Amino acid sequence: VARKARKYREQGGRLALPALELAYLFSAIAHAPGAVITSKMLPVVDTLLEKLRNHDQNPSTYEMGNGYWDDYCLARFLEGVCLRFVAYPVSSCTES
Amino acid sequence: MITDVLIATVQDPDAVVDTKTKASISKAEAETRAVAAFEFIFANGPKIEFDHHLIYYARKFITGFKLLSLPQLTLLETTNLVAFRPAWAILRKDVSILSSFSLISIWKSDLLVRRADTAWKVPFTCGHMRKSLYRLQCMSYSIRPCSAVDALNKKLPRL
Repeated sequence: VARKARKYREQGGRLALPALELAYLFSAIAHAPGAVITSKMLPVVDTLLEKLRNHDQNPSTYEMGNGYWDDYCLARFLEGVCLRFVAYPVSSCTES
Repeated sequence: MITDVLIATVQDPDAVVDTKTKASISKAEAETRAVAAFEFIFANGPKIEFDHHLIYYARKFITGFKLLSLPQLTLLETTNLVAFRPAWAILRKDVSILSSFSLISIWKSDLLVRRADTAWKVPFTCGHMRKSLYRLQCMSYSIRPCSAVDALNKKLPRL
């Protein structure tokens, strides 16, 4: 909590995808149906990725130069996690 | 070791699969995009200034809650993704994917930048960081054989 609070403060009162990060923490992504992931979660990630790609040439223009790669990696991580559960839902490993 | 991670993280006996709704993305496309996303993190992880250090929960391997850096978590999630694939795919393809990740070099460069929780420059000889480096080396070396063994044991479903 302290790390995240400090990050929030250092980025000028901003966090990237905080709700989805909490969803990952509490396994909400893992337990969400694939349709919910693609219709509710992935669009949020894609919106941030689109914003980040607009600053691809000059990352210093992104959010006053704070946390471009931090946000980019987090967004790609959450994108990967979401898509992983779309491809292979959690309980499928119990099938034989 | 990694087998414990897989068991602790991917199995959920209480989960109920929603068969009524279908995702708008195919399984193959989702898998390809997921791998691409994880590879991006391995490639650009050293550029992270202050790591997010997400909290990760596993029951066996690290016993409870643990703060892990984004590259560490990505490594675990990549392993989980790989674990679902059929045996032939793991043996032919994923081993090369995993071996292509320059995890250890990323970790070394991360040491030279700064620690995320202090923002201070950290000498490379710092003891606990060397321990983390050793741990990650062990993990990266263990993943490939464990993934293959898991697949060969047919614990995981075929596509």
